[in-house]
Amino acid sequence: MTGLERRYRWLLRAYPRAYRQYRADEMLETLMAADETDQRHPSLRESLALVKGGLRARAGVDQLRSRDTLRYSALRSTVLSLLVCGVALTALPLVWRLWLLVPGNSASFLYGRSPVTPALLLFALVAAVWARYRLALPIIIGAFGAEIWYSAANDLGHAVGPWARYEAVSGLRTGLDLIMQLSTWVCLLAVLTMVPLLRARQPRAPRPWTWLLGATVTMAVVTPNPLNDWADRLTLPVIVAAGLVAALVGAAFDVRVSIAASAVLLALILPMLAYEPTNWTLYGWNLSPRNVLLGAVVGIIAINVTVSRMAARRQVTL
Amino acid sequence: MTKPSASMREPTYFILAALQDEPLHGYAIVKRAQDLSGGRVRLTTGTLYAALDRLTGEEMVRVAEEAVVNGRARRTYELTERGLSALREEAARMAAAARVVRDRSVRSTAATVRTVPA
Repeated sequence: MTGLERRYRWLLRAYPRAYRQYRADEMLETLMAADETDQRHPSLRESLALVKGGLRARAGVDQLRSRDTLRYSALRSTVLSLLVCGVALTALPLVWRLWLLVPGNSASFLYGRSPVTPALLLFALVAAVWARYRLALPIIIGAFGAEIWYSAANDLGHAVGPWARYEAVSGLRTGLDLIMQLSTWVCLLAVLTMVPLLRARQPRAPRPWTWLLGATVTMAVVTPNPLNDWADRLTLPVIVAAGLVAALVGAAFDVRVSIAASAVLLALILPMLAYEPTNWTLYGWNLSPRNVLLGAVVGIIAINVTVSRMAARRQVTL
Repeated sequence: MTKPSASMREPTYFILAALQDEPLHGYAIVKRAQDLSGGRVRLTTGTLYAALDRLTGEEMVRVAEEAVVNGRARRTYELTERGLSALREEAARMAAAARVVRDRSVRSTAATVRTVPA
C-alpha cells in the first residue's frame, strides 16, 4: 500500500462504516486512477470533497431527496433543537442551586424559576425523539401552563419596571413577565413547528442521539452558567458567532442546521427584544454594545433564513 | 419514488450525459464529463459518488457490472430509461432557454440590417 493510498483510506473514514464497506474500494480505485501524477499527498480539493461527502453521508443529507422529506426532517430537527434549548436554559436555575450546594461557592443573586417547566420540556423532548408528537404537544402546552401558574403565583410581574403603572390591570403584569421568558417562546415556537408534523407522513425516525448530545453541549457552552463560568455580557457575542457557524454549516453541509439554528436564535432573541425597550434612553435608541449586538443577532437570523432558502433549494436539486 | 426536480445541477447533467453512449466506471465518468464539458466540470471523487448514490436512488442510473480489478471492486454504471428521459428533458429545457436569447439576437441583428441604408 502506497503512502497516497494510506492517506486516502484515512480520509475515507469520514464516511460511515456501512458506506465504506460498500464503496471504499471503488472510491479508492477512482481516487488512485485520478492521481495521474506521482504525487504523495491527496489534493486539498479532493480531501475537502471527501470530508464533506463523508459528513453529508453521516448526517443522512443525501437521503433527503424530495422537498417533503427535507421539510419533515427540518421541522423535526427544529422541534428537537427548540426543546433541547428549552430544557437546557430553563434548567439553569436548578443548575445554579446545585452549584451553590458545593462548599465554597456563593452568589450575590439567586435566579429562581419553576422546576416543573424543564421537567415537562424534558418529557416532551423524549416523546418528540420517538416521533410521538401527539403526546409531546400537550406536554409542551402543559409546560407553558406551569410557567403561567408560577409567574402568577409568585407575582413575578413586579420585576417589569417600566410598566409598573399598569400594575392595577389584572393579569397584565404576569403577561409582561411571560413574554420576557425564554420558555414562553420556546413553547410557542415548538408548538407551531410541531403542528405540521402531526399530519405529516412519518418516515422512519433516524437516531438523533449524537446530534442531540452535540446540541446540548453547544447550549451549555453558549449560555452563561456555572459550568463554563461565563459572564452574561458574553452571551450575545457567542450567540452571534454560533449563528454564523450554523449559517456556514447549513450552506456547506446540511440546511437543517441552518433552519434549526434560525428557530433557536429566534427563541433566544424574542425575550431580549421584549425586554430591550426598558433600556431605551435617548429618542428611543440606545447604541450601547448590547443593542448593537442585538442588532447583530437580528442580522444573523436574516442571514440564516436566506441561507436556509437557498440551500434548501439546492439540496433537493439533482 | 420521488419526482425529479425542474432543473438539475451541471455536474449531474454531465454525469448523465457521460453515460448516454456506453456504461462507464467511476474514473471513466470523471474523464468523460470533463471532456464533454470542455474541461469545465472537474468532478471530485466525493462529488461523483454522492451524485451516483442520488441518481441510483432516483432510478436514473444503475449498476451494469461489478468486477474486481487490481484486487478492488469496480462497478460500471449505465443510464436507465428514466435517466435518459430526464437528461433529454433537461437538454430540451436548456435549448428552449438558449433559444430565447439566440432568437432575440437574430431578430435585433435583422432589424439593424434593415435600418442601415445600403
